Amino acid sequence: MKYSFIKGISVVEIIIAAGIIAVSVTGIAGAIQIYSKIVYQNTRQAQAVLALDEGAEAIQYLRDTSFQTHIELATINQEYSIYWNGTGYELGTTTILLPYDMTRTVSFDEIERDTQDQIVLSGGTVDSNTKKAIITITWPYKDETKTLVSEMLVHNTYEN
Amino acid sequence: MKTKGFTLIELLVYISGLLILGTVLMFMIIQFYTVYKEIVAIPRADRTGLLIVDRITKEIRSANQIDMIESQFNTINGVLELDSMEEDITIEKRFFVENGVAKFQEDNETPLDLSSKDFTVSNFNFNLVQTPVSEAVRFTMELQFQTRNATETKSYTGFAILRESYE
Repeated sequence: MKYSFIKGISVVEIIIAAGIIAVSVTGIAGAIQIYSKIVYQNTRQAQAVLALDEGAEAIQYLRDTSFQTHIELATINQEYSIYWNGTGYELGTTTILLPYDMTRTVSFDEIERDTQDQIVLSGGTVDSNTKKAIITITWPYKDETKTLVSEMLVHNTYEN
Repeated sequence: MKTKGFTLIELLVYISGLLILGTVLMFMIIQFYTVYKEIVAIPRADRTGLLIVDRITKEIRSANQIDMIESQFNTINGVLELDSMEEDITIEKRFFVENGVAKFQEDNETPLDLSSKDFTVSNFNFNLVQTPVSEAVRFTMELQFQTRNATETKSYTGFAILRESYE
């Protein structure tokens, strides 16, 4: 039997090479897509943490300015937005969008204390000089809403 | 007569083919790199912006006082100078913008770059916020960077109370 060896590239080789290139390119594109999604999520998470941090500082600023006006008189469980008015922070009932469609709200809850002045979940006396501030950051991600929540106790330290 | 090797035509066809293939590959690589740079540009800007905000916030919180003479508030590219005590020594810490780069300087040392030259920092603005019992600083900053078709701008905000300002 006689075999003839022809130099060059056969159709099968071209198809295999093209297949490998196609799979590689698709793989790289997929990897970049996954990478950009992870980076996007992490960045939003970091931004949410900073927005939360700013909100917590703003609550402290409101306490320093006047606990009675800003915190004691706030309606319990009402969601307020925290916004900058040009000279200081204020609480408002209108939703304000932060960059990347984030929202930041704060609500206040009452704190009860027992006869030993310890904080109790129920059955105590309401302490009008201490409130629980619940700061919530939300942002859209695909079809869902991501949420980051932080709670802090605010006390009328300066009796103002 | 049969001779070994390639004819001039074969060589020319081969070289042309290689050139075309090389050009297409180079074009694809350049395109791929450009798209990749754009994909990573926004997260990079965000990381830079968030790191700067985080750094300034931490320095404000731990500072003893604001240098009211050296600081420039409510201006487009302001300056924030803080006095911090570290092991009984007062250190001056300064944030400012120079040629579009956010800088941090301790005492008279060489300023450190907080942002890379890929971004232009603008509207680096500081607001002094005073309450009856404390002092705070709110700051905003914009990062600008070029993409293929436009100039993108990202804004970042921070706010911190000087813990040492409480009497």
